Amino acid sequence: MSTIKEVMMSLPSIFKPEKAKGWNRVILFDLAGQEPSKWTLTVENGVATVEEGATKTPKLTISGNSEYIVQMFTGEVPPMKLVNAKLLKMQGPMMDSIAFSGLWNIPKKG
Amino acid sequence: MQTGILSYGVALPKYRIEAAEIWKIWKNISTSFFDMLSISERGVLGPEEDTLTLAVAAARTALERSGLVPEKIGAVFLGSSTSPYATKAAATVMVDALGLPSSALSTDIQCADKSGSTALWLAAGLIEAGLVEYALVVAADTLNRHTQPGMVLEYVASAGAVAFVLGKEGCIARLEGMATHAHDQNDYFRTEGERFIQPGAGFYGWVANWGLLDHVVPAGKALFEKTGLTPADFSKFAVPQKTGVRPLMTMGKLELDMMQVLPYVLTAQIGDCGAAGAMLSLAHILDFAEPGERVGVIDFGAGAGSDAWSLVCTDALAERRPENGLVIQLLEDKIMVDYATMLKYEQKLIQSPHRLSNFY
Repeated sequence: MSTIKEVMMSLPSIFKPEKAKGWNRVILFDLAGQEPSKWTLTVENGVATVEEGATKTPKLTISGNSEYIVQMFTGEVPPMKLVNAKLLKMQGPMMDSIAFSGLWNIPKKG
Repeated sequence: MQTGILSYGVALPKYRIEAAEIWKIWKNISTSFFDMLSISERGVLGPEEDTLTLAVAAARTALERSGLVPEKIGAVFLGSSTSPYATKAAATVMVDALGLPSSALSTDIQCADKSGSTALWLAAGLIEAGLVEYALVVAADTLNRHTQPGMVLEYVASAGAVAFVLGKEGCIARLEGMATHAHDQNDYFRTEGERFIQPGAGFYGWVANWGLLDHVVPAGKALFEKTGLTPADFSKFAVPQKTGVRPLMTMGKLELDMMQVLPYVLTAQIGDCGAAGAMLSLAHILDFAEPGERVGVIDFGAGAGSDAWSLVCTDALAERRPENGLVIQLLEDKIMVDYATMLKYEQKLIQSPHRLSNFY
């Protein structure tokens, strides 16, 4: 299983820039569980960058256990399944939460 | 169709208030609704701002970007449900303020939140018929000034203006087709002599959006039928966005993909801009669109009616894409105010008639 650092640092490479034109947001991952940590994802002008720590004021905060984030971005479990099961919590405008889930080329696991 | 958009301009109030600031005063809604409805910030009018000042500011930008001399404008339409005048045209003030020719056919058009969309298509009809060469159309509203303190609409009621210069030559986006649907169904309204908008059916919950789907769905389906297009033929849609619920309802019932709609919903950033709402989303889309992209617009006005239309971006968009005054820049150019300042600026406080002169 990948580490949370590997997953977070891989986000820019699975980001769909064409879906994020004009969608500039700061997203904070506030994680507990196996690898407690904070990560700041900045989407600006069609580019996604990730920094460790809470470095900017977020518009959307995603909280939950780090292993669920790993499962989400590696395609083990669909994002909405994790949210609906309340294993991940998204705090911020619902529009942003849903749009966020469509910005990634998440591998499909058979 | 040969007619299309030559240029566009946007004006938003710089002052903003956070929904949480309003909630501190009234505590009349569960704060859990904020995220559910995508409510966060909304525009606050400056002390001397109104529908006309915003409309003129947006129109100035659109005219400047068009490169046309004012004498070329043959029609001036202001689409708004919150004109400063109950009787008297506001569009004629725009004619004077912008130095436009008196020979231009100038009038106000009112169909609630879709006033701008309807005005745009009336102007397009004149151009398509060869009656005028170019037209200036502005969608502008100040819902905030017309929302009573303590009413839950106060959390989103905002203001803004989006102006379009239309013509046949040099379009950055060519209009392709439209369909509309209207019958009487009363949700938000103001009757004669009233300042504040009344909610016919509440603010949140399914009933609050009574009328939306009864109009948006037939108008959207009629557009697809008339043009032979399917939702998959469009890259993006600008949709009604009073709160974040309306885009979801529109998207779901018309089977649009979430990524065609949701990234262009601006409710959380600026609130409900009324007639300028869906048009603001369209301007935001045009700021980043590419030549060849087909964009859909589905607008909804209380009372009620929906216009659904399509446009295709041309090669001229890449050459004449605005570099400044992008919607995203205007959204970030803001000054946050508290509740009392909002009340003062939106002229909702009982005031001394001598408030500016009683210093003796």
